[in-house]
Amino acid sequence: MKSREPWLGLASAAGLVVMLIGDGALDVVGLLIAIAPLAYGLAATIRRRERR
Amino acid sequence: MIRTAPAARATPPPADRRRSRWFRLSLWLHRWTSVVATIPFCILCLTGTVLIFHNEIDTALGITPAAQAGESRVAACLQTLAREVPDQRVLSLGVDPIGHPGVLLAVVADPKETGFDHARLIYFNLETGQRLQGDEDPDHTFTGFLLKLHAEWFLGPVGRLLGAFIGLLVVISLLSSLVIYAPYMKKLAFGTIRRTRGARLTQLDLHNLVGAVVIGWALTVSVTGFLIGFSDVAVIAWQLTDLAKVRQEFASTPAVDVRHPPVSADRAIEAALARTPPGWGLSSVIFPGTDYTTPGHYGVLTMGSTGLDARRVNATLVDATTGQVTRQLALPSYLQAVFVSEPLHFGDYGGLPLKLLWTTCSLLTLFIVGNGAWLFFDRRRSRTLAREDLDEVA
Repeated sequence: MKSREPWLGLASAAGLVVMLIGDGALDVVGLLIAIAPLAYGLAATIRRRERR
Repeated sequence: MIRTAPAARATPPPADRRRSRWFRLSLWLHRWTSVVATIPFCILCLTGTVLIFHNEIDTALGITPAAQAGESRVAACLQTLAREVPDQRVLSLGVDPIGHPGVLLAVVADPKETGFDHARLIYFNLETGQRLQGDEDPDHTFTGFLLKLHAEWFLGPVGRLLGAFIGLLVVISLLSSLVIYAPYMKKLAFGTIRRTRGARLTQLDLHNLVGAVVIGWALTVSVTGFLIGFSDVAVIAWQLTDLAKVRQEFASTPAVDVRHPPVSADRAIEAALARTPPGWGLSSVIFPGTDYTTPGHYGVLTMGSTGLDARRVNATLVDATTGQVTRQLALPSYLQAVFVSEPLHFGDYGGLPLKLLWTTCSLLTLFIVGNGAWLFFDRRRSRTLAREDLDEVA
């Protein structure tokens, strides 16, 4: 993943499209994909702060 | 003034030089497209954040009335309409079962009007046919004002194109950031914020961290914003091509009285719905003699109820004299692209969780726009100071 985080960020776009196309369970899957980059960024920040 | 050459400026090998040139071009594009778009994009982020909740705000302010969903009685609504605004013509009727269940939206204007620019909205309870309070001009409401600013910069169709241009600048800035991100982050673990090494590095780290996590959302919103900016152009293109052909084909069909068409709108809706696929329902019906129909036909727009179908539009032409379906019109792909872009731009298709995600990403994007501008001007200030120091030494 080193230096490739923006490409993970693009997963949000895929998640939003999945939500638009899908219905029911796919909506939830799409939302999870869409928020994954934000969650990853938050987790990485917390991890770095703990290591300091 | 003494100009000193950089200590080491060895010519890089061809491959590195190419990469370096690509990097420098991307950096230049990122900086300058961002600087040009900074102020308008900040305004778009701020107004967009409020507009995410426009339905809730309008309902809370009593601008968009609410009603209980029940049986649809379009005919009763039309009778009320004819009684209450006898001097006006109807341009279209619309329903929004998800956003405004149980409400019929009528767009009325002076009988001579064929376009929607000088129209006004009137709301009805679909079940009782009663007129609902709250039919203010949407342009003069709080969210209407913000939408005019967000979508058109108060400049009408030209403003929409300006918005598309800003969207294009943002797309270029985001794509170029994909190229320049890696070299900056080569020796830094993702999530690290260097707080003790000066404000510039702290802000740069925050810019890279937040930018990396919101880039997907920002690209989605800016690409769709770019497409929506061309919506007026797309509609005009459709009017000049496909609709013009249909009008030419039915040029011999007699025009009907636009205030009292022989076949009522509810019968036209019934005829059109009988020919639509299962699960599809009414979106709106456009009356004969408007800019979007022929002088003798209703245009009935239907939409699906789930998934992508809920964002696609089918058009059915219904003869306003006989009540028969004349034709089903396939709308061109560029218009369908605009329709599909709208939910991806507004984030109104996933309920509250998606609205909260939209708000979070919008505010984070606002932050990186602001802090990116600070980085840009701080760098210029540092360079100016360094140059002044050199001058003093010389």
